[in-house]
Amino acid sequence: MLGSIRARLLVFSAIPALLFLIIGVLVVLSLARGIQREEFIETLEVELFQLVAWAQVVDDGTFDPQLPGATRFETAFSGWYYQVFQLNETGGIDVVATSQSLQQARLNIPEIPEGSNRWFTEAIGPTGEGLMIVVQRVRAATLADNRPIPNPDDQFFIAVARSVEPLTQTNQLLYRALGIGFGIGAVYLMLSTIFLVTFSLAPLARAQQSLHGIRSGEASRLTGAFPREIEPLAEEINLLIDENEKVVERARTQVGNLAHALKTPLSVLTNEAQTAETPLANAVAEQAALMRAQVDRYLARARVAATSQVLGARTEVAPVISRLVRALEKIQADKNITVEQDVGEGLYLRGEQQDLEEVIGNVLENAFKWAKSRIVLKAEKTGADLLFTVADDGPGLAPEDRPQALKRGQRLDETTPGTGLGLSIVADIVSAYGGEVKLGAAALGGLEVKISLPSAR
Amino acid sequence: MKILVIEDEPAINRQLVDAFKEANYAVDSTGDGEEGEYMGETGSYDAIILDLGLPGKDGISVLKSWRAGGVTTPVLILTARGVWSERVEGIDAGADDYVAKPYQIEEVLARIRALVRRAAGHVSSEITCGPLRLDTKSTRVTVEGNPVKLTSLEYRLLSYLLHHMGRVVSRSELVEHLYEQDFDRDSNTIEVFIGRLRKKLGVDVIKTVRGLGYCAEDPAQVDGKAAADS
Repeated sequence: MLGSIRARLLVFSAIPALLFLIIGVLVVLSLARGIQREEFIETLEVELFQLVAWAQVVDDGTFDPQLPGATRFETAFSGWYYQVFQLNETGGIDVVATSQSLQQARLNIPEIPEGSNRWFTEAIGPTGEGLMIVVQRVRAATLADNRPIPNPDDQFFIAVARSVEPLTQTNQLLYRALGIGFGIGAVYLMLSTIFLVTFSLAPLARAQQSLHGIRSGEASRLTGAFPREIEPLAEEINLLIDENEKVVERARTQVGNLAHALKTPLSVLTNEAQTAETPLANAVAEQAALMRAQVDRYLARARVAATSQVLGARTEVAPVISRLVRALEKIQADKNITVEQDVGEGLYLRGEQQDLEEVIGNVLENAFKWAKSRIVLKAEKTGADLLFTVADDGPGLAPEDRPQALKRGQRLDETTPGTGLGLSIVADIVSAYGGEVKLGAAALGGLEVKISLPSAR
Repeated sequence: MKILVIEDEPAINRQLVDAFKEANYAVDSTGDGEEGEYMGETGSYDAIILDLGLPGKDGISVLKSWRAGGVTTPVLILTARGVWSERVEGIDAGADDYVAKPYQIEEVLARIRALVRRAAGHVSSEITCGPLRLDTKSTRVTVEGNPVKLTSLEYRLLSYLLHHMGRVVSRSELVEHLYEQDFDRDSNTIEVFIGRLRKKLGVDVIKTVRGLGYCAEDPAQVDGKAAADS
């Protein structure tokens, strides 16, 4: 999954952002709850201090149950309660006064911690709600305002309780608000991450498309503006394509040089051997002819092999064909052959110009060689291919001879000058391009050659 | 008939020169582009064989400057790469035909014969003039079907006159087209050769145009014309 930059960006930007969001929410939540609790406790303590201030121990040392209290202590089960109690000898609790709001119920104080004068505790209230309780230990003498009483060291406990219900309610509101906030935040984060990733990666997608275009012969270079981070990559790719072309060009030049180097001595050998009629001369002539055929064949193949790998090669068909026809018409001027051309507009070969020249040149030359007066040349686009049809009104080729004509070094007619390799070289080049050569009978009476080659879009 | 061979490979150059001499052509040759260019401009050749890969100046440039300078001599180019772009470039630069290496000498001979014929306006490889027949392919001459044996120079002389049948050819033009560059030229010897040729042929096809030169004409047509004139 992390093989894709898109996935990486999504994972590495969205996960930390979401974590951050969650931590933020938790911090806010705990802060809010802390503040709320603080406030809650504060109001509880305020009530406690008020009660302690009002609490009285009368002269006989007993607690005066008539405590003036706020109305919140008078309404039954209001959620605010107080209870004054003493510890008896058995360790139990003797309640000496309660708020009206408690009615007949009593606060259940879980335990009395030794030595602590004020502490907080929790209990279940009369209506089953949770209560937060603060308890204050007070000396009887204090409550008697230092009047003389018989039991100044008696201890009274004043407990104030408050239902935690409102706290829970506000907490729920808080949770909901935070939840909604978190949700919106998360959605926003995800959307912005996706947008960011898509937008940032758009140039890569464009580069990919452009590369695809080069592969399919639509363009020869990466074009368009790329961001600074990709620009060097695009430049490198273009340089690589340049370099590739140069390498192919160099290979082609070397193949050409090799051709030149081999062909000249072969010419000399062949022609020298023909001046004599000895068995040796005949053998040399024969072998030299074989070598010629092989050299031609393999040089053509080496060239094609180098060529068909070129990226971004694209050749306009019409100018190539018109140049070839013009050249051949000039050479064969005295044969008075009319070439009817039907070459579609805007046809592009996904390949090198030289290869197209070799294919069409050889087929046309062959047609010129055999035609009586007419050649019909057609180029059209059929699907992803270019279809070339060259037909002449010559003698044609018998069906059983056709496969031979496309084979290596075959020369069906030794009486007409020519390399005799024309059509087999055509077959080699076309098959290197994944195309097809078909020989058939032309409506004009002669040979019809149909060639399919890949079209550039 | 005189041709120029411009080819830098000594072995090929020699073979071409030998083959064309064998076929009764006068042949000049060079292996250098610039020298070849000069020779093509100044010499009177009936055809030129031009290799494209030359030292000094490459074949295409030589060809272009000839054509730009008004040299109309038919040119056959020899291409070693054998790729079509090279051939088309040659044709576009003004070549009349091409032969791809490695080639057979017969092919080059045939192409040159065709070029010379075409330049002179003949379609067939046989030229007839009354009872006289000249086969450019086999370099055989017959009068009323009987073969006539000619020397190389005599053949060349007759061939040139027949290629330009009906046109008056001056002595100096004949010298230009019959002798090789370094040959010791003497236009008076032309008269000797014409005399020998007339004797060998036995038919009156070569007319002397006083003060201008010679003209090959069908004797029957000349008679007809003379009759019509009178």
